[in-house]
Amino acid sequence: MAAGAAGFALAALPASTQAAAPPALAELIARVTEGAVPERSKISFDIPQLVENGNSVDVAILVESPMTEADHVRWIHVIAEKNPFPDVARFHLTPRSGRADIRATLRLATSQKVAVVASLSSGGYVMADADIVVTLSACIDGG
Amino acid sequence: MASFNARITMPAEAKAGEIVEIRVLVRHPMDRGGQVDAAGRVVPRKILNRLTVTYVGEPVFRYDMHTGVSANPFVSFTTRAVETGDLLFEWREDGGATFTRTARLVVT
Amino acid sequence: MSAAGRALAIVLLALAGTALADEIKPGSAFLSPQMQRQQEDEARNPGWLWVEQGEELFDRRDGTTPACLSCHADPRQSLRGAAARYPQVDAASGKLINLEGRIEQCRVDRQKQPAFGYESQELLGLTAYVASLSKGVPLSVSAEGAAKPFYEAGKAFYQRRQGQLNLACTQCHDRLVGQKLRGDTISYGIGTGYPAYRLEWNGLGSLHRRLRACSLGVRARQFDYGSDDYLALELYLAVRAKGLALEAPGLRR
Repeated sequence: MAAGAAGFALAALPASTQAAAPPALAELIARVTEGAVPERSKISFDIPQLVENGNSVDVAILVESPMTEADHVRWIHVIAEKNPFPDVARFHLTPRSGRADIRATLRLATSQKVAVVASLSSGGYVMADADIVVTLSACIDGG
Repeated sequence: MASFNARITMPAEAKAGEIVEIRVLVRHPMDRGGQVDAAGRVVPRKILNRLTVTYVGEPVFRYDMHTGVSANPFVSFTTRAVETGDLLFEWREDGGATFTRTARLVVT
Repeated sequence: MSAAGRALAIVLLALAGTALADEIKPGSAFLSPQMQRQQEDEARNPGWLWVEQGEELFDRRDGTTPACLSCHADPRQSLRGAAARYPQVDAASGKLINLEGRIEQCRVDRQKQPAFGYESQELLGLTAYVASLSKGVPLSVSAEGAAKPFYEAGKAFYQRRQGQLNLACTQCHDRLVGQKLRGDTISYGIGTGYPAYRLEWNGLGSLHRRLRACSLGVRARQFDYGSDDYLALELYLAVRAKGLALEAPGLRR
């Protein structure tokens, strides 16, 4: 699908119908930043390149920020572009967090690009992304 | 279905101004919905969709969870020790049920 | 066979010989360093959520029923090492029972309560709790005396080709250890981490659940939870793992 057509679909249809043609990562990001393009800086995103099992994937996110009233991270949003529901999680922080330092366990449906976007109190956004490969374990017993 | 169960790991004591790490592990299947169980029924979505943490009444952390969060999810975050008091952890489940736990931080 | 083919065959044989001669290592030795650390971290290994449930059940009285704790006072002392001696032959019945079987026996015969059922969350919790009390204790399961015929049956099971793939346990878990099978590294097939939290399961499961997955993997018959066949195999695996430390609740892929 052409980018223009995808953009139109995004604007015109309710969220649930977008699964039919997964929007590109840039569009998924634009949706949480209200159109702003995040800077690729100040954020480190640690996720295994080779995921041992997509059921539980460890991620660690660290944003460089003084975490003061004047200058802090408001939230960090995780997007997995090929998950059935690409918005995976959002962490809301405050100046009292002291650091913007998060670890969590996520579920990744398949090999894909995963992005983290942080919203800053200044109004700007920063982001990082990573390509991951979900490997298959040898013995899947289906319960 | 097993009972809700949470393990909250954090220091019992901290100096004023110190940043403490709080680690939370919770037992929940985080059913993302749509799977078929052994009896052939479609499992409805039932996840914990939010964890809110307040520290002596002040919100200090919130975790919005969607279907892409693992079963039995783990999360860690930080907060600055400001005064002795309780951290209140509240989970909200699809359907409206809530679960709460508290942990005390003594600030010296 | 070409010269190159012969050379390859020799190398493979040599590798197989090395694997056999190696000291047997637990399943955790085949995990990534990150998962190894997580297994040992009680704040991070979800298996401890089940251990906690088990401890609650252990301490709980149901009406007039005595709690497990009523007989097994101070379990951190009194039951330390107990799990490292299972499976064993039950003196009264002459049958081989594992830790799950012993807990169910206590529940039915002494507490006069209905059995939890194999693989129920309650039995998994109690088994994980009792096993966790022996964390770090070397396995010391007997293959002698009354246990001998069961050990021999388990060994025969381990060495017998089974299923549509016509594979015996020993072909992979002795001769191909360290090699890759899809995304996994083949281990020695040691059960010291069970009950274990397996990412594949999104939960805690017993060794027999894992064995059922093995049977399915080679497209062989899956035996029932607690069946004589898997009990005998569990005994053989435990004797083979003699001296290795219990590490339940383990963390596995």
